[in-house]
This record gives sequence, C-alpha cells and structure tokens, in this order.
Amino acid sequence: MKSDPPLLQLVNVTRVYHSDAGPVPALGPLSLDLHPGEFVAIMGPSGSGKSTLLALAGALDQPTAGQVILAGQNLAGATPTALAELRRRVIGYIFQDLNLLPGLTAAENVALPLELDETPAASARQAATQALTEVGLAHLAQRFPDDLSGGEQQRVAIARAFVGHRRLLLADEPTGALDSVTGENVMRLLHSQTRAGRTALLVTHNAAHAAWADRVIYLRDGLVADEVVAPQPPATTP
Amino acid sequence: MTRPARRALARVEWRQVRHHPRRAALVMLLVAVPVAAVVGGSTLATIIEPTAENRATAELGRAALAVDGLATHNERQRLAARLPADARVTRLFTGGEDVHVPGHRLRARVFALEPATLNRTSPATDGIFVLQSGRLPTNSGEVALAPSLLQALDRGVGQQVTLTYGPRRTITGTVVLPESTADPVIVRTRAVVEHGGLHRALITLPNDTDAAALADRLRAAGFDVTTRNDAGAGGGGLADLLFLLGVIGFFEAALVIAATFAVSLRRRRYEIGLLGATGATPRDITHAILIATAALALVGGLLGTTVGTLGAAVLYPWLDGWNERHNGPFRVPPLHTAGAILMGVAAAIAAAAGPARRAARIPLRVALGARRPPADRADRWIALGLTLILIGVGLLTLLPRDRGPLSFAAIVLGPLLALLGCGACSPWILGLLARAAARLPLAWRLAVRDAGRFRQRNGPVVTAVLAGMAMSVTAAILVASVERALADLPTPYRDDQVRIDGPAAERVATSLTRSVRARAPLAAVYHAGQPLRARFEHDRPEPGQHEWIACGDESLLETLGAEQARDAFRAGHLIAINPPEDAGPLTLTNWIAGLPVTPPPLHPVRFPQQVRGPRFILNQACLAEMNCTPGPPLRATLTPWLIRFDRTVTADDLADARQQAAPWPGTTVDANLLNVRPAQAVYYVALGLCLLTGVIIISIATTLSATESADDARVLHAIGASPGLLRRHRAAQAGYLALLGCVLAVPAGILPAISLLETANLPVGFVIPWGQLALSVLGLPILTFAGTWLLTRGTTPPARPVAWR
Repeated sequence: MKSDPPLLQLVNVTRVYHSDAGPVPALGPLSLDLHPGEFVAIMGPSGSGKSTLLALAGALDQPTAGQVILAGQNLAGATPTALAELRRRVIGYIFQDLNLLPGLTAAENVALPLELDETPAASARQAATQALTEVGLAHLAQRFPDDLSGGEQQRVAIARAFVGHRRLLLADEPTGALDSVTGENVMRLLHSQTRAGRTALLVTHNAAHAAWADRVIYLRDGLVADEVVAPQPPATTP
Repeated sequence: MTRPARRALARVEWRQVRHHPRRAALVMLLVAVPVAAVVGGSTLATIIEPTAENRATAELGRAALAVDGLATHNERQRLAARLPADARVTRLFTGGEDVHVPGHRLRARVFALEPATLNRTSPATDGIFVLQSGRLPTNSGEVALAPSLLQALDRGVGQQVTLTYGPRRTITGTVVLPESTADPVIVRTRAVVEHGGLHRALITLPNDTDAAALADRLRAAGFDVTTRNDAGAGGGGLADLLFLLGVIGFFEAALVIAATFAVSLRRRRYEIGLLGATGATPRDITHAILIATAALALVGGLLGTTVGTLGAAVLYPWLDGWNERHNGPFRVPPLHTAGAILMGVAAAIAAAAGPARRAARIPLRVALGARRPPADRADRWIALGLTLILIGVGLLTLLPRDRGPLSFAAIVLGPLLALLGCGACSPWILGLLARAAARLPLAWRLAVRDAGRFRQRNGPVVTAVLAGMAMSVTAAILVASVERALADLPTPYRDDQVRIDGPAAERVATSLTRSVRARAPLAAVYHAGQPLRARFEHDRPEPGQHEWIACGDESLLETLGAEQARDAFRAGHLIAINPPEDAGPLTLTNWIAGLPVTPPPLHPVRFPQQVRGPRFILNQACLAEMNCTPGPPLRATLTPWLIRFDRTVTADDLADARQQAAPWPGTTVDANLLNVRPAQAVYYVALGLCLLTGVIIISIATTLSATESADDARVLHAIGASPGLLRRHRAAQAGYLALLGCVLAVPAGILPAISLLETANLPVGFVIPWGQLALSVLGLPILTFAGTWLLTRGTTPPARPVAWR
C-alpha cells in the first residue's frame, strides 16, 4: 500500500511526437506514483494523452523527457531485451480488442507470457488452467479466440495479464467492446486482482467503471487536470 | 450499374492505388517481369533464329533446286536432259580439305566453284558464303579463306597458303558462312578432278517454272533433289518455346498477385463494407476491383514490353559475335508481344477474381463489425484439387511415349494441372498442419497456425514455391539420370594418360619430365595422302571408336598401355586392340579413294582401352615397306602427343602441363581429370533460378504476412516477447511456407521427370539424386529462414500510441 515503495513512478515525464507539421506534445510534464495493491483509473477526452501514458508505463514507449521507474528500475537506457523481460515478468497488458493471438488457443494465449519466460511447458499449462479457472473459463481452454465471445475473450486476456507473478496490470479501455453486464464483470475481476495485491492502471471513458478505482486521474491536453480519491467501490448489480 | 456509380467506384479504386502506391507497384511489377522476359526473349529468339529462307539460302543460295551426287559427266548429262531449256546449272563441290603453312596444318570445309561463278556471273551461290573483304579467287592459284583460318594460320590477304592438292595459292579475300561465321571455310576454283566430298548442281529456274513439279520429276528419275522448302524445313519455334516457358512465369506471378489481393482486400474489409452499406452490390464492387486490376496489369504489361524491347535492343549489337551468325534485323514479334500483355492482364484478373469476389460477399454486418470475419472452410476446394491432381498424374502416366504433339501436350498440361490441384489443396494442407502444431516451439507454432489461419494468402504462396522448386527437382533428376548414363560410358583416357594437342604439342610433351613413364606422338598411318582404315569384315565399332591405325615406336605402345604386345610390335605385326571374336578377315584401305594395302600379320591383344585411343597400332619403322607415311589422326589437324605417367595424373601434373602450353596459343592439355560432369551446371543454373524465384516469392509473402499480422506482433511485443522471439517468429513464417512448398515439390517434380525420360526414349535410367533433392528441399527454407532472421528487426515499437485495431 502507500507505505510501500511505489511500483511505478513517472517523474516529470514528457512525450512529444514529431510530425511533418512539427513537434506535437502528447503528454506532460506529468508525475505519478502507483503503489502496490492500488487501482488507479485514468480518464479524459480523446487526445488527452491517456494511451501515451499507458504506453510509457508499460515499457512500450520511451519518454521524451523525465523518468519512468518500474519496480525500482529506471527504464531509460534499458535494452530492448531488458524491457521485454519487464513486460513478461512485471506487467500485464489488457487492450480494448484484438487482445489475443488468434493462432493460439485460450490456454496457449494465457500460457504465452510464461512460455516466453521459458517456464517449462507443463508448468505454464498448469498455471494457465488455474488462471482460466479463476476467470471462470476453464471449460473453454482449448477454444481459439475466434470461437469465443467478446466478453470471454476479454476474460482470457485478463487471465493472461495476471498469470504468473506479474504485479502491474495495465488496461486500455478493456470494456470498450463489451456490453454493460460483461463490462461490469470484467471490472469486478480486475478489482479482485488489485485486492489480491496487484496494482492496476485503467484507462477508460466510462465513469461507472472508473468508480471501481481507488484513485481517478483526469487528463486534459497531456496534463493532470484533476485527481479524485474514491474511498469505496460502487454498489453494483450482482 | 449506372455510369455515375461506375465512376464513383472507379474513383474509390483509383484513390486506393494512390494511397497504396507500393501495393499497386507490386502488382504492376509482377506482371511486368514475365512480360519483359517473354517480349525480350521472343525478340532475341526471332532475331537469332534462322528463318526458313535463311536456312534455304545457306544451303542453296538463290537456286531453286539442288541435285546431289553428280560426280560423273554422264549423270550431269542425264540431268541436263531433264531440265527446262532456260534453266541454269551451277556446279558446286563441297568437302574437307587441309590448308598448310609452315608449322601449321588445319582442316576446313571447302567450297569449290567454276571460275565464272566466282566472277559473279551466276547468282546461284549468293548467300551460301559471303565475301567479307578482298575478292573471290578466279583461278587455281588463288583462294579465299575464313577470318578464323587466317587468324589460326597467322596469314593475311595477299600472302600464300597450300591446300591438300594443287599449287601454292595467294589469299585474295575473306569469306564467312552467314549462318556460322566462325567456321573455318575455304573457297577456291574447281579442280578438274575433285576427291571425295559432295558434287552438287544448283539449278536456277525462270520465274514461271514450277520448281516443286520439276523436283518431283527429277526424283522420279532417281536424282537426289533438295528444294528450297526441303532446305528451309525444320528448326524454328524457339520464340514459341520461350512463350510457353513464359507461361510458367505468368502462373507464378498470378499466384503471388492472388496472395497480394487476399491481403489488401482483407485490409479493405471495412471500406468495402461501407461501399456495400451505401448501396453498391457485390457484383459492382467485384467489377470495380477487377477493372482497376486490369488497368494496373495493362500498365505493367506495357512497362514490361518497354523493358523487354529495350533490353533486346541493348543486346542486339553484340548478337552476331555471340552466336556467330549474321543475325536478322531488329524486330519485335507482334504476336508474342500482344500475347504476353494479354497473358499478363489475364493472369492478374484471374488472380484477383477470387479474393475480390470473397471480399465483396462478406456480410455487411461482419464487414463493418470489429471482429474478424470467419475464415473460409479449409476443405472447400479439396475435391477440385484432388481431381486436378488425378487428371495431371493420369496425363503424365498414361500419355503416349511417341514424342508426338499429344505427348508434348500431356507433358505440359500434366504438371500444370497437378500444380493447380496442389494449389487448390494447399489451404486444406495448411489447415491440417495448423491443427497438428500444438507441440511445436512457440515461434514455429505461431508460424504454422498463422499460415493455416491466413490460408487464402498462403495457399497461392505455397503453390508458387512448389511450382518453382518442382522444376529444380525435375532438373536434378534429369541431370542425375543423364550423368549416370554418361558415367557408365568408357572414360576418354586412362587415369595415367595426358594428351596434348596443338602446334606446340611436341614441345610441351617433351618439356614434361616429372614422373613420365613414356611419351609419344599419336600419329596415324596414311596411304596416298589419306588416312589408312582397318576394318574387319563382320565388325561394328563402338560409338566413338575409329578405324584409323596409330603408328609410332615402342613408346607409343607404352603410352597406350599395350606393352604386352612389344614382341609382335617389333616384328612388324598389326596390333589389334580388343578385336571382336569371329570378326572375319581384315582389310586395309585408304580413307576416301579406298585403295587397298596388304595387311601385315595380325596380333590381337586385350586390355582396357579408352574410347579416344586407337584400335590398331603399327610400328612406324614398318611404314615404308607398306608405302605408307605418318600423319595426324582423324579429327585432328596436327599430330597430338600422348604422355603416360607412372601414376595417376594429378591436378598439379595438369597445371604443370598447362603452364608449359600457355605461351603457345591453340595448344591444349586433356586428361581424365578434366572429364567433369557436364550436366551439373544445368542443374545448378536451374536450382539458382528456382531459388531466386522462391526467395522473391517468400519475401513478398513475408512482407504481406508482416503487414497482416502487425497487430499480433504488437500484442506479442506488449506481453514481453523478446526481440529474438519476434525475429524467430517472422523467420519461421518464411521458412515454414518455403519448407512446405519444397516438400510438395518433390512428388510434383519427380512425375514430369519420369515422363520426360520415358518420352525421350533414351538409354538413360531413372536416378533419384538424394543429395540434390535434399538441397532442393532444404535450400530454400534455410535460405529464407536465415535471410528473414537476419533482415528482420526484433522490435515493433509503435511510432504513435498503439492503435489496437
């Protein structure tokens, strides 16, 4: 919790893109700390820098200025291999859609980060089955993504995000393509993972989903416009 | 569809071309390359290939008929009695003759004509040979020679040479044969008596004479007649053959275009859905796509025509030197050119039709939805594919083996249908293998599953690779079979022999001292100026064996390995090497005139003799008694020398001999060591071309795959795939498609090889070259895997925040 050292620190981070028309500031300067077990939601209009922030936090992009420190490691100057290792071992990513590799079964998709980390195949399969059981999809383990519904796919993606011992879950509008009931279930699942000690950073347009978070940060034009601490999760439909 | 609707859809397609210029350029290029090859090749073939008129002129000049075998006055009189009164007869003698200068003697083809003919009073011989410089000879003291002869003899116009018969002659000019400009040729005036050779009457007829009817009448009277049609017959068809080979190029191009369209139209799914939502029917959309494809292909075809024509034009000035003939004027064959452009356009339309139809028929709800449309059933074309394969195999196995047109059509159609069948089955095979990939390492599992998922794209790619590599398999089998047949033939020399030919043969032979056991000139016995021939009454020499008699001292016996016959040799016996049993009595005659010589006692010996060795040996010391002299053996202009080492000839021995021969142009060294496998080069050229084609196809397929699987790569990247894994994944995609195509190419290549060998009806057995097959099967996968691994970056950093659609 807050007493623990932050899992993710963004210190005066700036990201500027360069286009033919000149430099385009996308984010920052912005500072943000995420502590273990914390669930933070990012909201803001399109172009406010939410996805840029998530990409920086997920070691998918490098800031133009400032520092990103993940699990005590400064990402500036890290090699591509070291960044890939961080993404495998520390970060779990959930996207809005096209989350899963369509060529792999649900179980293979969930086991993928472990396989990438050279976990023996049997252990990886076992951990994947367990993760799928946690999200209630053990019976669909051998299905390919195209044979699953949108909600099922997203639950498989969440299972993949927390399989193993990864501590930071990054979710980019994970409910955007889902109906409200399925979206609610996904949020509950995400929330339960943070209660189990994982840290989550959620980008969403949906205020109801943001209300699940411990903290909601509002971005506008790449800067923090507001920050709200939500003391309690909202009452939801069962 | 109304005109405004057509225009609107055309505009959409045009914008697509403008927004995706590289994709449009790829389609144009895929059409342009085979068109350029066919147009360029056909143009060159048309230029270099003699026409029927060229062939007729080379043999008959301007004459309407030729009558051969008119050596005697009576025969000529008999012919004259049967010709129209105003027919004109030009007598031409052709044969072989030696031309000498001190230190050189070369054999050349001779044309002998009446002085009046050479004075150009008769046009009959125009075109048989061409005067290059100087003038033609007009009397028995003059001669015209080919430039190649002048160069070899180191002589020029105005200098003198001696022919086999007659006085010394002054060189008056240079002549060449228009269809074979490098041939050594002699033009001189006729002698009163000509020995051997062909006596021919060239008959020029008035315009209104029916040459064919006259030829029939002369044949009926027993004359050997050649008409211009006879002389011009045969040959030709090289441009047609190139066009047929070009069809393979169009087939390959069509497959790659199909893969390109499968990707591009899948990526345009949403846009096509929008067109449908705004009222365009699937038929309208398909038509618009096909019209745009046809336009691109037409531009590609015109581009290819331009490149092919320019390429041929660039090469044109060098052609006469390369193929050593007076080639025709530069001319682009219009039918082949139009055919190539039409084939290119047709191939592109046929390739685009399937993907366009599929894309236009995706339900709008699916096209406009976020989810991927379901893939086509993998076994959709399996029945058609198997039927085509069965028909193709049936054609190849049941075809008549008579080298007739039906047999030729079956050899062309059989593999083509089998390949199309494989193409139709390949999506099913890809789907089947994708289901069995669970235990593969991750990179390969992803590659195999991706290949199965995008089978519409990968099916044509596998077929294109299969088609290309099948040709290398066919070439490997044909080459190996021919080589095995060649290897079964006797070797030209013993392993310890070296033969030296040319003007400095003696000098080089005597300069070699290391490990030499014996050396001797390989001279032949001559009688009355002609080689002496030994012939048993019931003997039939093996192919390559000759009936000339070698002569020399005891060194010759040793160089030939016949030292066991030394005593008989000393006694003046004629040594017969491996004579057949019950061959009958032996007669000796000179080569052309047939003058008999009394044979000395015969002494048969048996030992492993090589094909280029003589069958008879005589002691040179005994020649004078037989009224004979030594001279060069058959097919040699100078006496070669034979060396026998006391061990097997090594590369160092050869290098030493060559070094000694180097200062003497025309002096050559030969040994068994140089008896290299001649057909291997054909296989490696075929393999190289097939590999190049395969690499290009796989490169395009890998690029298409990278485009289409970009989202998957981003997901992999985001969940922590190492750069190495991303590279292995891309490399595995390339290697897997190549491997599948190459494995299927083995049966696809073996069948045509069997059919070709059986149809050719040659004494060549069927051989499977496992090494070359392994090279054909594994070469391309290894090359493409390694190439892709080296050229692919392992990271896919998004330039912008990830757009996950």
